[in-house]
Amino acid sequence: VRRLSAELARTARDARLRWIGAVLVLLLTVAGLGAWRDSTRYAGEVAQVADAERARWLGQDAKNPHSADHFGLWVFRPSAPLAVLDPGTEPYTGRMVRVEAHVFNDAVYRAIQDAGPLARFGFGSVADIVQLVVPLAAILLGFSAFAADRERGTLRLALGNGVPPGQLFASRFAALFVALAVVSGLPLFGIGALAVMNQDHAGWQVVPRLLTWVAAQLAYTAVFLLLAMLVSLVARTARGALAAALAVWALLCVAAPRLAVVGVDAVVPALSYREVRARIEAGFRSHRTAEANDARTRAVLARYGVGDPDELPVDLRGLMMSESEAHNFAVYDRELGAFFDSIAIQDRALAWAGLLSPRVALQALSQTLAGTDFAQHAHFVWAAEAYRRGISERMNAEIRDHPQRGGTTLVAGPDLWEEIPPFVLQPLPFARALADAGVPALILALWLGLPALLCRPLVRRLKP
Amino acid sequence: VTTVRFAVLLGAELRLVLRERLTWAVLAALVVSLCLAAWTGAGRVATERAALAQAAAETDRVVRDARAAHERYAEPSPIKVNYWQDPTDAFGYMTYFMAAYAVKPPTPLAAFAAGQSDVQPAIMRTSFGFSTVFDDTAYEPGSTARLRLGPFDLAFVLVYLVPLAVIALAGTRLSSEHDSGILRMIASQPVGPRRVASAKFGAVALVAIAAVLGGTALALVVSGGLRALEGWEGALALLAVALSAYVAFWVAACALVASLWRGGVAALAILVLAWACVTVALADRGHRREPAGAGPLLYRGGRRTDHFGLADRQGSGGLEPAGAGGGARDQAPRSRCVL
Repeated sequence: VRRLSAELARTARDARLRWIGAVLVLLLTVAGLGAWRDSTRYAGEVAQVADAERARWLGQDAKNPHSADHFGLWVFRPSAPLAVLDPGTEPYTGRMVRVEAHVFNDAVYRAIQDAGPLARFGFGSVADIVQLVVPLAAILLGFSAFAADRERGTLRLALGNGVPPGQLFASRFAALFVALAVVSGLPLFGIGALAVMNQDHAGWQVVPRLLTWVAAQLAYTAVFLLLAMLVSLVARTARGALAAALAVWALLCVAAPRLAVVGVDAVVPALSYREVRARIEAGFRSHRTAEANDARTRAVLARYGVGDPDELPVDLRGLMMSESEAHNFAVYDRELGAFFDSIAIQDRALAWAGLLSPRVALQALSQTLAGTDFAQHAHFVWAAEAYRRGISERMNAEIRDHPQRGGTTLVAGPDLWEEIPPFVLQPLPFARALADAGVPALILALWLGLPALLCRPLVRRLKP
Repeated sequence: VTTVRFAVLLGAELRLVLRERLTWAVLAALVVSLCLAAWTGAGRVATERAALAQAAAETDRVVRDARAAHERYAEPSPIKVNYWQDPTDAFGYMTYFMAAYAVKPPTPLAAFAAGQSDVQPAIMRTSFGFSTVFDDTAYEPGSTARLRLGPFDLAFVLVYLVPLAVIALAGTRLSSEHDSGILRMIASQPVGPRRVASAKFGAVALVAIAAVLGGTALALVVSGGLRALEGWEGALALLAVALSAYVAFWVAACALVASLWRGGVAALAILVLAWACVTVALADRGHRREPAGAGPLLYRGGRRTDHFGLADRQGSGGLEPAGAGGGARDQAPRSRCVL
């Protein structure tokens, strides 16, 4: 403990820590507060526009239920509370869906389409700063841990005084890690706390999410601190240690993540969305020919044992629309289900690609814990589709159960519109996030364990 | 005392640079990266061209299907043909048959950079009355990790990795000689310090520029990423000049740092931080426009009102009985309803 306090005091006196700490705290605070402001505004807009849409739906004129189904409405995806820390996939996925008859619309209006061409290559978010700058800070603090002492000759003095090398390494690592935790972990925790206190977070289980998220970021920081100290144990000079550690950073944080994506795309390609949509269209085309329509009409009449639609106990048009929608739902489920599955498989492969770079593992882990991963987006898309189907089925049932004779058209009013509840999205539970986070967490643990294992023999054989 | 000519100094420095293992290791890594990036760029362009071909084929298929349907339904038959099944009906053809695409073909130099092509649609199916979502919001959902991390294309290698390669080659060129005492020995020779520094950094600049331009050209040729230039020769030449200037800028930055700070550790740390600031932080700040939260209110713009207006008009009771009865061809107004 005395040695640890001495190392802590030495680290605290280091001018590098003050500079690095100031830059980190400044960057994290500016990015975090900016994201919090945007998030607060977005939440307000979502609430405002969702209310306006609800009022528009309820206030529509009396009309045929199927026309009301076409009238439709927009539903919106609320942002996850911890998107302030890690927006994850949210800027790259649509945030609103138009709900209407027949069509499984895409979620549209991606933030990235409004952003500049370089916005995604920088420190746009708190998570980007953690993934790129915090490792750099760990390297700049850790590269000289042994190499500089060796160069100055003070390592000989320290070892000559009988300090066990293992304890020296452990105390230095602990002191530097505490320093990094203070300058990066505390601001992260503060920004996260601010985000969750000021937003509606029902169903998000924000406290365990925030704690595990900050813990994952600190584990990532520890990986690079260990790597820098590993290089410092081996290098003869501080310059050599810094050059090697910076090369490792450029490789693992800058180049390898993009290479990992290229590899995953080549090995586990996702289905082409354009081809999926073409298959859906083909599925509908064969169903809507005049011949198919005629065959279905005759089948319905035969089922009820009548020869004229006016003799049916139900409205033929409503019944056929209902049955036709069931066919469309099955096509959507089959094709888009396969598409979303292929994206999920690719995401899992990318988590394994974290073996190439801890940044890739952290990115997968971080967005899963923050609730901003693709699984949450897919959940929103299918929830919006379930809502759409609920409206279509209710409207078609209204037509089916009120048969009209002699070519008249059923007209419904506000009573029917009010039967449709407002769209409320319940997020996927934290338990699901923990299950999805298993592989990236395991890989990050491997990244933590590997340099620690490599350090052990080097520390035992530490030479001044 | 005689002064050594600059050309002789430059030649000597060039030989020194080319004799170093580090130089060849860095250049080999750079050329491999360029080749891989050119390969991914060529693959992306090929995918984009295939998508354009698919759109053209789809347009042809639609015409074929419409002709076949017309021939089928022209025969006398008891089957009722609704307007959405009838290609001779203008509204039916427009909404249920016709496939018109607005396309943005890749440019001859598209293999260099994905740019915004992975977030902005290159193909839009234009809709006539059926769609209630704007065509220009369409996109192809896919891997968000790829979008978030960015493509490994030539632009990435040239803008992000080339400066790191230059820093590896030139970052400690003068400061390491200062650390090892060689600079003091050089100072005792009858050569001015500016001339020595110019020769040292000039040699690195020549090697780096030749490697970057040659490596890029080689990568494009090997990957087949560069097709007919179709009048883009000037743009390619400008790109080569800009690349040379970019490499020269980073060599000059190395020289500036070496002249301002003594010692290799400080020089390396400052150069890498400068790289991070110039290529990542400043670029990001300079290009941010729309914050992530400015979306939902966009839909309330004027064009959307038109769409809602259309839906409301259709909702005024003019629903067409679809799927039963006859005589649907001559009914108006028509809904978009399909069974």
